[in-house]
Amino acid sequence: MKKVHRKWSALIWLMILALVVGGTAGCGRAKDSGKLKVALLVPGSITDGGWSESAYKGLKKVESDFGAEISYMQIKSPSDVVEGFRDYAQKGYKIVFGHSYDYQDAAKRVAPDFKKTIFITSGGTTVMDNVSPIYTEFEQATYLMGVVAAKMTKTGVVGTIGSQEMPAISKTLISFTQGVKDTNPNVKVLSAYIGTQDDVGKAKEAALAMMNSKADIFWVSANAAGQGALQAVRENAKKGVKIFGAYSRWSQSAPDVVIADGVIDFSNAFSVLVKQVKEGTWKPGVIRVGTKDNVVQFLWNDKMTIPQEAKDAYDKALQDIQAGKIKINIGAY
Amino acid sequence: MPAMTESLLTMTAITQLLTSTMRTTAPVLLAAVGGLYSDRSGVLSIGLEGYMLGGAFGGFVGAYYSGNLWIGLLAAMIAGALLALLYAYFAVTLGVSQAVAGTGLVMLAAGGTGFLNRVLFRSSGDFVRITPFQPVAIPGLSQIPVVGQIFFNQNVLVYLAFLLVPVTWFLLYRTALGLEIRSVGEHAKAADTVGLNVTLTRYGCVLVSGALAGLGGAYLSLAHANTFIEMMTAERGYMAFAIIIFGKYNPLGALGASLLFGFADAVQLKLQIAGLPIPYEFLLMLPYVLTLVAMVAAGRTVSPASLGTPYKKQ
Repeated sequence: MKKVHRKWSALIWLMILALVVGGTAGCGRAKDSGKLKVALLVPGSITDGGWSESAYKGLKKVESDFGAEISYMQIKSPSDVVEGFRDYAQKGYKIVFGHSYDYQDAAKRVAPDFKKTIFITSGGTTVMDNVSPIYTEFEQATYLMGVVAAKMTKTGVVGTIGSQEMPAISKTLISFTQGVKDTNPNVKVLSAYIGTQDDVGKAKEAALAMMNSKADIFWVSANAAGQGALQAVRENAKKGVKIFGAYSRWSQSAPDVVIADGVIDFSNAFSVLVKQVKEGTWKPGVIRVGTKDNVVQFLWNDKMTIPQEAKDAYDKALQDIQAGKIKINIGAY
Repeated sequence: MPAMTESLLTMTAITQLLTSTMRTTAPVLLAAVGGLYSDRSGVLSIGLEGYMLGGAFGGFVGAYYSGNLWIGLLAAMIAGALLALLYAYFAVTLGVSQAVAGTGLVMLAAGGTGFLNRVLFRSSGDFVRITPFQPVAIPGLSQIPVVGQIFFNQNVLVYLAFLLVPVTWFLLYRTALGLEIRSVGEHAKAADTVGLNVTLTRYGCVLVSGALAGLGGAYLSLAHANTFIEMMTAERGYMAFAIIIFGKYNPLGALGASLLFGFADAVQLKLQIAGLPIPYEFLLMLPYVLTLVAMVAAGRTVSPASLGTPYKKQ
């Protein structure tokens, strides 16, 4: 009797887990014709309201702007990436976007077999004859935040919080600090890493501890955990503490404390590339996209009154960045 | 360096450190005190992380749809207790390996809350939020310099967590029910022989641990933050599991251990902010290292003799 019980229990566990974990993959295919064919591999759902959705929007934009035939595939496990790249290349797709930095190894494996297809990864460093990564110059946005923070701080202390010290995170903290120091070297920048992307409590405590050390403006790059820092700032709104929105529009839900949002809009990144391919100007190499291409966006919170001095400093810094006059430090990348 | 010494050792800085310690300690303490009941009755409280996640999510759902934080707390306790009930069925009734069932339960809670969260709340892209519990200053007591700020100007759940320590101690060591629980955990067969209902006691204790750990989880979504985030418990449940052992299966010990851990965590943040030239990974390790060292220094822990052993009536 006992044995039977155990077997059943194992089965029930499996079924429950399978139900919870199992999802469905979106899949759409284009017909064959003479048009430019562009495909996309996304790591998440195209309705995630963030990373994957912005890529899908980019693909739709490519369809409408260039009359391209499009198709996308949602990747469920790492082994699907090679298959996805290969599948699209075999069907004669000219460009295949792999929307994750860790798709670069799959691109490396598939690319030599399909010389006519161009593989583009969102992030990564692999460059081959027909493989290139898109590099998002988000540090431009964080540098600008630093400039604004230096102008708006009342205490002369600002705070930066990161999840882990990895390039995509640390470059935002470093460039923010540079923006502050270039504007006013007397402003102090506090910095801490919390070592997690989910621990809201820890991010909140870090922000509160920094407030105790007088910090009144924050930049936080810690994915979901960043919500904890936002909450800490909201609770201290009366003391004039403020924060910048990280990768999505925090200003929409917390208009009283968010100065501006730094956002990455991939829908414009893909167009930059497709245009180059269509015109025959594309060459292998890292494709850098930033504020100029409207991929990296610094969006003011229109509900907050920003001092003119801060706006002027921002305008000047933006011009200088786009003219290449400011070299932004991103640390080791 | 003088600037740092100053910022670390002033009265205000110490008050702030200890206030932060109280806040970080509360959720772990709630889970640890809850887990004590389960462990003391002989059932490994390895699923605490799962109950906490269930509580964090259940609490948020309850508070969001009812618009009332107290209903949220009730929902959190129910969510935690339901998960605990499932675990008790496997651990007590079926008598399967508790380590396996407990780990499975945590996975179920992680996947389940993540899935439901996406279905209910993440269709719009932004986080759905509530207005969380605010600190409630206790009249009179909160006016005492330093101490008032640290102990008597916190949110309700912090008070509850710390109150549960003496309550649990009294229940376990000074009442007949406590004696029953401990007997079942020490020697289930003997307890059965003298007429105690082992199964019922264990079910009850596991349910209580689920409800209390659920409250600990709700602390995270309803007091510390104002929204639910997948995996937001961030291993606090496992920490609580370890803290029970470190505290020698005694509520007072658990209190000491969780305070030590919370304090070390607050200190490491403060040190990072002070800009010491130490890699942050080392500072992040500090609470764990300290806890380990203290555990070694505290000497051998004797666990309840029947802990982890299912009991089947012959």
